[in-house]
Amino acid sequence: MVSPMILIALPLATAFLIVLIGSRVAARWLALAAVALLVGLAPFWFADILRNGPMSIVLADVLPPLGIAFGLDALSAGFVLLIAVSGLLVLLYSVPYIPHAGQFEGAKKAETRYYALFLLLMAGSFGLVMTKDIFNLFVFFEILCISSYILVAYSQEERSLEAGIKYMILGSIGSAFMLVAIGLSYRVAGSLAMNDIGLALAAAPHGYALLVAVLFTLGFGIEAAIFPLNTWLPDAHSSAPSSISAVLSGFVIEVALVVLVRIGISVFGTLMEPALGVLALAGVVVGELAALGQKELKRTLAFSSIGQVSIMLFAFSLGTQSGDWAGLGQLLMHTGAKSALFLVSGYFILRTGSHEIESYRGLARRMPAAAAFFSLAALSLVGMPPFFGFFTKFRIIEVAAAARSALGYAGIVVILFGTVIEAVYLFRIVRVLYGGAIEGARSDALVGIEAAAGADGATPFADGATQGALANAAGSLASAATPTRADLPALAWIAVAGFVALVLVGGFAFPWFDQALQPIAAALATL
Amino acid sequence: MISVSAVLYTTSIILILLGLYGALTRKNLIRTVISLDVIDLGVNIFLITIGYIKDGRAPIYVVGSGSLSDQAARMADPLPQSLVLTAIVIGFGVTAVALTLIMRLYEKRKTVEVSETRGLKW
Repeated sequence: MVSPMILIALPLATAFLIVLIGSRVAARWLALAAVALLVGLAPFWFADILRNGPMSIVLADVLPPLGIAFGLDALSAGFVLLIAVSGLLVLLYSVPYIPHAGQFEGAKKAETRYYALFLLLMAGSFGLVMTKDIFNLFVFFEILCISSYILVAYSQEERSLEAGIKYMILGSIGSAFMLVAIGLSYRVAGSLAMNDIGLALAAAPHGYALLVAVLFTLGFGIEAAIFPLNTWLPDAHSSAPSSISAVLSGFVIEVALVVLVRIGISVFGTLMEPALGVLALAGVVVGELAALGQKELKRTLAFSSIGQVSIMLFAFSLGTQSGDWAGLGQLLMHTGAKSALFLVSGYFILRTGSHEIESYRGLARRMPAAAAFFSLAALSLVGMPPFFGFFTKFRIIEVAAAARSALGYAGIVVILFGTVIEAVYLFRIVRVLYGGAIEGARSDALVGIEAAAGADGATPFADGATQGALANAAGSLASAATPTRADLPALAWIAVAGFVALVLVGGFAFPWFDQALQPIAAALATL
Repeated sequence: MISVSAVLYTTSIILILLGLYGALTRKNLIRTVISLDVIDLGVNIFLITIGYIKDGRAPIYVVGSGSLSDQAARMADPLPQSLVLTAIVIGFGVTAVALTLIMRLYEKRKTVEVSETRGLKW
């Protein structure tokens, strides 16, 4: 069996190789090959762990407490599988999509770096779920953050640069808090292994442990988009290239959340749980309400991510194993649905050149497959039966009721409220997509051409504005009739279909998924 | 007599708070980045101070000048120092990326001031 260290070593090595070679074609194939290999290996590690229990990895023959502690258990192996599969699907989408995402000088050269950064982001995520050492946690966190700052700003448009800078400022403040928390932990434990720190903090004065826990949560919570710390998210997730939005919403915030919850439980004890529960409910309300007020598709989806992540956090903060179980189900569903939604909206933006929901009116007739994928994923996100989202939300409400606490009951109310709001804004988008305005658009275009032609009769092509109007009208007619320019090949649709399949299979084979999630949930509360 | 570590801890906390204030209030992005570096500096001093001992020596075992445990008791803890080295490198990377992004934004907008209305809109 290959050592799981390949999960970190292979993406890092491939990323450096890609930059050294500097060829676009090589970059695509190398990245795809590396991630495909990891996807092939991940199920074996998962199966091995289910059979033989957690695996601890010894680096360079240096045994604990001196070596660097890594380990793979059911939770990290499950996440490795999730990250590898979504990474591969998003890479498949990126190959045709990325050449359209950046229209700036030197974009061809930048494209090789896109793949290198994507692999670094994956290496950082793998490292985060595998490390047992709090300083390595920081290092992988930084690898993940720095690569995502750059990827968010990839298109080099004003708004994405601004979003990247904002994300980076908040992220850097967060990592400073984390470093202080790490320093305080080391001071009391004399070791960086999470196990030792957990023991030492349990023996330390209550205030000291609380200070460390709060600083750590402040630091990590920025990446996990916990309610008051998530102001960067809507900008970053909506201005990034859509493939990157899919990754950031699909697994990056989830990985950060789960790692935070896990460390919260096993290192800081249960100090933070009630506070996190309250913040989570606030996040559901604020995220969903803000999503309702958005006019841009990707901003709506980004705010919906805040709401969804808060629902997961609420389930985790109940502090029961069934709560963790329900939260992980929601997480898996969200990865499938939100990745698909972002990938499809990338396609809509590419084809229409507009971010506004209103401009997608009647798009379903021109792009039936894309609209169908979008609707399926949206239905699941809202929680319509028989999709995955129905079962996961139902499970969370069930668990919240079983908790028999004020917070649990409040949670039921808030989640149902959030679901109603979610239904309003997602169905609004679906209705716009299937709205019957396509005939109108086409005749508008024809009228435009006629008007322009009429003007031409008077002063033939003397007026620049007339020519512009003609070109515009012809353009909108062309895109209304047979859109071929900037279309995405089947490769990209494999990626979208993969994520939608997760949502569908999750709904129809829910008992099976439920079984598969149980050992993962059991591992969440242990280190 | 105030101990050296008390002075260092106080300095680091002041630097962190100063940097935080700067990062959150400055409109000029270059100043924000400088503030982030001030925070980093404070954190690094904090980490170094954790490994500080009075009259400590470099953690190198010298043959013939006392037993290992005797020498070890006077050695400064090397681990926080290696953490700080890593943190400095990461801070350098973040600063480089930050300045690059700001440079690109400057090319588009010809200013390094943050616009209050746009970026922060919900």
